[in-house]
Amino acid sequence: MKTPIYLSNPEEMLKVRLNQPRATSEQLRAQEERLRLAAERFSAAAKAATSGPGRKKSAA
Amino acid sequence: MRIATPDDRSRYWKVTHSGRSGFIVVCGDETGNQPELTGALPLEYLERLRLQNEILQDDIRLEGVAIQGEEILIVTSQPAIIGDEVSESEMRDYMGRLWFAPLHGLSLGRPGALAFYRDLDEVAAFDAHPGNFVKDGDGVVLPIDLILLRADAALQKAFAPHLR
Repeated sequence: MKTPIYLSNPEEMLKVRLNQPRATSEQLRAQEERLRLAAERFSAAAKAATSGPGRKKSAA
Repeated sequence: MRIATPDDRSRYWKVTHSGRSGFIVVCGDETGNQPELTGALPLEYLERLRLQNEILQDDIRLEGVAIQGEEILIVTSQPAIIGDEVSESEMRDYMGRLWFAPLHGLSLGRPGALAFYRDLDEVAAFDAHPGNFVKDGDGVVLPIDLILLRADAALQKAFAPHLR
């Protein structure tokens, strides 16, 4: 896993977005699938951690 | 939302579904004074994208508007970013560095999605989950599809118990 970099300078943030390497169709498809699965895992974990609307399970 | 990429693959093109313009969060008497996710009007959707450009330095462009039957389709494009998924703590750290405070116990959008509020300009961000962020090849964390809006008085009041 890469160490996260957090930019706060607006110009730098925009520059990063506009200077991404060109992707292949296969990379784009693979990324969509990867993010979809990551989002599903995230939601499943969140559901498992709640027992009702907004109520966290107490650590018994 | 339908997504396509042109031949140069530098940008995603997005087309809204006929008569639908993504989502927005509202609050008022009709929602029992609780924040609620609902379908956005076309102008609300465009304002959300404008905020993504203004607040998160994205480069979303309005490419066109089409009519299908009697419904409006909005066509936009956005830079394509290839990278890794982010963790929950990375999303929280990213938003925190932009002075967004977490709205504890408030999740609208995908189940478990995080929500944030920045009181200095009254901007709220919803639907933060790993499908809406990317960590690029260098590790730069970038949100790509948050629901952003300026919170009105009713929403600000509803946020208060979540800002403990």
